[in-house]
Amino acid sequence: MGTRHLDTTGLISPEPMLKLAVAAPDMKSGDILEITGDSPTFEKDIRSWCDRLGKEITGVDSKGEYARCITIRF
Amino acid sequence: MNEPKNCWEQTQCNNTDCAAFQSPGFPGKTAFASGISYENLLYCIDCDEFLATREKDALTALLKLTGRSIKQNRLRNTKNHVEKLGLELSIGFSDCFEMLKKLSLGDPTARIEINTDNWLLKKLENALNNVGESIERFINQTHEMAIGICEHYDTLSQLASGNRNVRASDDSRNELIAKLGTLINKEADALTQKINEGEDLNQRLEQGMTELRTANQKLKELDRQKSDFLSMVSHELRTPLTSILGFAKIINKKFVNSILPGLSGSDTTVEHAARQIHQNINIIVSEGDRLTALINNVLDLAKIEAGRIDLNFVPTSPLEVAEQSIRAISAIFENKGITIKRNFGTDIPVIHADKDRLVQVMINLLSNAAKFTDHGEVTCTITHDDSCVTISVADTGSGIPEEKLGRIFDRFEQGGETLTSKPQGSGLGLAICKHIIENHSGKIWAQSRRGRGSIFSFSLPVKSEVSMGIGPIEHEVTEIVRQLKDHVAVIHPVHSRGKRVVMIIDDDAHIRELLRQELEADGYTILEAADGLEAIQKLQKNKPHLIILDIMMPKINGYDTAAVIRNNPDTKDIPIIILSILEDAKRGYRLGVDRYFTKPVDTKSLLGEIKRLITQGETLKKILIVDESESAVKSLADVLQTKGYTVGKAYSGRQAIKMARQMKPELIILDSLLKERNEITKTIRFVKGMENVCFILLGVHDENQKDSDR
Repeated sequence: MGTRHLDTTGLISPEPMLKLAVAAPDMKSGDILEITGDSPTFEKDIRSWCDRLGKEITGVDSKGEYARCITIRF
Repeated sequence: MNEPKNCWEQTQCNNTDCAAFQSPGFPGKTAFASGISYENLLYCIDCDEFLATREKDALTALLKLTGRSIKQNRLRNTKNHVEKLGLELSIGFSDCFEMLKKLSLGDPTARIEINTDNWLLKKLENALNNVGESIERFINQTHEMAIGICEHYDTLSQLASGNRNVRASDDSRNELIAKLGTLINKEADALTQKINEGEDLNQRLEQGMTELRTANQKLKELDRQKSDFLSMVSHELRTPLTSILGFAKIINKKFVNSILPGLSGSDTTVEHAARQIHQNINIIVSEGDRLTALINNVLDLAKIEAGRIDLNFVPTSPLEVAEQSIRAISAIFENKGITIKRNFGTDIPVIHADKDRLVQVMINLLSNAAKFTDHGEVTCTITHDDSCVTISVADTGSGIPEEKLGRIFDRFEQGGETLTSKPQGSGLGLAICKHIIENHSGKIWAQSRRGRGSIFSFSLPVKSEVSMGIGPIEHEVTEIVRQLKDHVAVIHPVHSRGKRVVMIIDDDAHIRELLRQELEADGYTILEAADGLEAIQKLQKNKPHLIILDIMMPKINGYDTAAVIRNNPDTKDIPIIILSILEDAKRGYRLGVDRYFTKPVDTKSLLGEIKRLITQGETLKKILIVDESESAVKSLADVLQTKGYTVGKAYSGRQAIKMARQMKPELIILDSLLKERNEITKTIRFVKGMENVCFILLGVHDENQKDSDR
């Protein structure tokens, strides 16, 4: 089990989600992904993605108005 | 820019809803022109509106309006109006700008709401909100596609890792993603069905394999039982066969020596009958011999197949093997009038092999060649290269049909036509040959042409790994022992007075009777014992010159009986010959027996050995080895001890003399490089009771040295 970081700061919707989609297949069950972003819809997008894919969000760290660091367990 | 001199003279308010317009000629209800272009920008004071022919131009004109000089009587009103309008527009544009900023930062939900009646701002609000909605729709679709693709990827991954129950969602808002989901599910269903069918098949295959393995195990067990049965039956056949063949030979001998001479000159009918009896007995003997050979082959094969073959690897000359084999069956060739040609290469290397077994193979191939060749010749060829020696036997006989050639080394496979000619032999010879050669890490093969003859060849590796260990020493020791047994009798003749006594220990009365007749005819006195216990009791009263011992006996078996005899000081020196249906000579030799024969025995060689052993007197048991090299002494001593000898070790001349006085050996093995060897031999020759001790020199091949030592 490993932890991976994905930085989408500066990217606007839907780009952060597309980045997450590309990274997801390399993750194994139990792996942790920390994704950061500052798009206004960042948190909402990541939440809806996790909801649909059945992934667990274990933490949301607020770093500014929209900036978040969201921890996802695969 | 030309400013109009009189605005109302030039134009009027053209707003159709304007009251000023509806009251023509009213002096206060005039329009005035202001801004850059008089044609495009009109302002009606009464209806408080700019009237322009082109909105864009009007806007531009308005923005540049500030600071302009307007007619004094209209200036105050106009200024207020323009300020109000400017403020409104400024707030409205600021809202628009904020909304655009939100959109550009990635918030597709950004919208604008301006509370104004200003037609321009209202239109702007409407247009910007439409753009926002379009962007939001587009982004939502992209989200849906990205999530959908992730979902499908996830489903495919799970399917690939063996989770056959997982299915993709096919209810996505995106039509393409939904259709892709349906397609994936359809394929997954088909795949699952195929896998289920495969698993079912696999399960059935596995079941089949298990059954097959069980059957194979049973077959192996049956094959082992068959081998054991064959072995047992063959062993059991040997005992009665020994009696039948032995007595037939005795009858034949007595008939020829005692009865036939007495019949000469008698009635022709009697003579005829006597001749027929003689012929019939000869048939019994020859068929008995054939049956013996067959049983030996069956036993040999059973032993080889059970992996119980003991090969005695020693340095062996292929040329010697060939010559010995040719000599052994030369009579067959002479009888059939076939010549045998030798085509032996030069510098044929010595190989490590079991010489007797190779001779067995060669005799088999040569006798087969003779069997199937009616005229012509048989050629024996020996060639070699760096890795192996190849020996071939070629005949000019009938050849082997092609369809049989591939199976010729199988058991019970015979080369001849079974319908036109009576099969000869057991059909086991070549199978045994194959096993023997393969146990030598060699290979054997056959080539043949119908009517032209056959070539049987085998090749053996020049350097055989299996043979490198103890082989050469074993060979050396065998050679020493052979020399010893050959010469000691001559050197130490024991002149026994009176009758020589032989004790026969066998639970089979017929065998005892047979041996009694044979031995009595040769002048021996016989003592009989039906088992080991009886023998041990009888040995307390009588000490025979030699003991013939069976192995499988009730109460005490032969091996134990031999051990008891060897451990009793009164009987330990009596030569023992084992005569058994069991072939375990090694165990016998370990116990210190002198010869090992298996039933049915060749009476001639048995009598020869009995004579040799009795003449030799006490069996040779004590050997002294003298060598400065401890390892050489140890390796030789180890081998001799396993053969049942008592071995003394000495590493110097003084030690050797001291040891010789103590143990009184019958034989002393001396290293020929030992400087004190002459002193040792001279000193020991003068020791009482050791005048006739035998010396063997080891280690050099210098003839002059040997001569001087003699």
